[in-house]
Amino acid sequence: MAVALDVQDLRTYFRTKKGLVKAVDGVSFYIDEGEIIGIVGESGCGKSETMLSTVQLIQTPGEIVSGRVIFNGEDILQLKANSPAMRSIRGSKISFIFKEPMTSLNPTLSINRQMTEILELHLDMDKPTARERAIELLEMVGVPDAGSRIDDLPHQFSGGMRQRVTIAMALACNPPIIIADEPTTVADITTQAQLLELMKELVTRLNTAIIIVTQNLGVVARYARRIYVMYAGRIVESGPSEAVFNHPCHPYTLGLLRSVPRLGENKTLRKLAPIYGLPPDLIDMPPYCAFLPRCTHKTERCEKDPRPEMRPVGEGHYISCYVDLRDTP
Amino acid sequence: MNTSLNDILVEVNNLKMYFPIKRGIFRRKVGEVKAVDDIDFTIRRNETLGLVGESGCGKTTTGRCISRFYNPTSGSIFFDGTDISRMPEKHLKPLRRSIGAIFQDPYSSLNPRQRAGSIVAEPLKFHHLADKTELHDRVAALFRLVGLDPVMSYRVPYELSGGQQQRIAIARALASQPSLVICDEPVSTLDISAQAQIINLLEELQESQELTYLFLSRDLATVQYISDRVAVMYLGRIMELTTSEELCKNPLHPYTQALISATPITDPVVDKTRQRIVLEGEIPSPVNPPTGCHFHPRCPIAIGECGEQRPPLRDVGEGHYVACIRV
Repeated sequence: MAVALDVQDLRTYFRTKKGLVKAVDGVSFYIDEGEIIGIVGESGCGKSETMLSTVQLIQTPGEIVSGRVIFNGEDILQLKANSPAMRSIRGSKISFIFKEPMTSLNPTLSINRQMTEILELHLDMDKPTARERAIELLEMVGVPDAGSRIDDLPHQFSGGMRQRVTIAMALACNPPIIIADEPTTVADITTQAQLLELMKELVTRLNTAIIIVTQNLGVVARYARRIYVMYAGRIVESGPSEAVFNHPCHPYTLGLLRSVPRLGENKTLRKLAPIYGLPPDLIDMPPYCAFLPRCTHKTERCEKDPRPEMRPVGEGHYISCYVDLRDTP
Repeated sequence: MNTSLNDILVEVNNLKMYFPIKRGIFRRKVGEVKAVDDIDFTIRRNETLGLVGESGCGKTTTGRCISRFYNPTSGSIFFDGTDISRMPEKHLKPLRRSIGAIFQDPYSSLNPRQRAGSIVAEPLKFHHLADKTELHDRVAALFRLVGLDPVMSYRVPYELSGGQQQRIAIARALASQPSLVICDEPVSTLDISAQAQIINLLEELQESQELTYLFLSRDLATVQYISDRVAVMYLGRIMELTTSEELCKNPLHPYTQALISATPITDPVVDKTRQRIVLEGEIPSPVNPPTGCHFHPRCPIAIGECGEQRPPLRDVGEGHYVACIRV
């Protein structure tokens, strides 16, 4: 399977009055064609900034300091942020689905207007063809009665339907990659299941690769083939989802998994074990491991040595930690 | 069930809360939102009763009726043996003291211009529970109770993390020493590690302060974890009510089964073996709910009769209640 997107050592820093915020600090990941991967981390870990950086949507005071984003054999970070080539990639090659559909849609324009704009701009369609294609897309994502609903405004749709519309818009140009940033967080549980099943079906049917960025471990456990866990601007563990969830090797990943209640396990059966403390301030990061102050498995070496680099611990399974949890009971 | 009357803190009978929809210049009533549509349940002392359901199912409205933020349309709510459902506002002050509330988004439930210490002191002053000399010590004690350093009392909410803000909200709710605390999605906006901290804190406080919780959330995994018994709500009605353990092991209502199936778990190996039920369609509007069983248009096992009569919430053994004629 060919690699659809390969991000190498990406760094995005924000210059603020208080100091330099290293929001993305050397992140590398890849996604194959037609694959679903999950990027997991708590708020402020830099997962959204990483995604926005891949298509150069970072605004001042943020700046992409270094890294390579290989797409179609080309490093697209070399393109100017507002060049036609970069805009065409954003419009038709790597599209986004955001958390809140009401804020990613224009409330004053009909769905028809918003969808056909993309098709006319990026695929040079004329108005009637674009409308036809837009209806087809809405039908594909399961909007009932798409032919008449296309002229409705966003507020006339329910939350779940609105998110289907944004999925249809993301699919408009048949992009090889879709980045879904918390796509189902605001949806109800049964709607969330509908949307995720839909996205999974589209992956198989259209061979689209989807990056799901989320805090919800369960969602990625079910749908993603590989997982990247982020903490304080870096990937701390990555690997096939069975390896990461069933045999976590990084203390942070283990901490996250022990913090979430599991279905069928009442408080009388298993106590939650939260990660105590707070995530670090991304200004003036210590030279050692960023998780150290909260880590329950730290060794002497962790304080002396620099931040650990990624190292393999299994088939496609990597951690950035000097300790390997499989060695500790 | 072997529960004497004294074991029951809250008893809700036939509770209905309809909100009128008014239109036109004469504000004529043109319809009703049936937010809570005839529900019964009890909350025992020192237990956690969970209400789980998707948005619009009426769980928040139920909580607000019990705390009398709303005046229920009909039905009775016995709190500690007294019917409070129609108690006039001027007699409600003792009730306000006995029922605390914690909300979803701690930041919006705290006054952004007030210092944390003064937020927590407010109920003490309002209910005359501490005079000026004691106030400082009482606030400090409450801070320690929720795991915060009392020096934090000089901070304003934006200087605190989400988890710390929620701890302030909990301290405020506990200041008047309530017996019942209504927790309305207390962890859903927090980070994963803060969620677990707050859940553990709520559990510790329940034990040390002898609290009773009504825990409202749309996340079944959290609700079943913290609750002793769980009621599953859909469109203003209770579909199933049983112990947390029984609900996960032996869910009887098709809606509960769908909810469990839709709740993802963090074990991909086990997850692959689970049954998938993806419901068709969306939750209907509570203005114009379906006839008969509210769930029947989306139900995978519905038959003709389901659309005709409302199924009663019946006991199928050992305190397991289910509202479905197909079970």
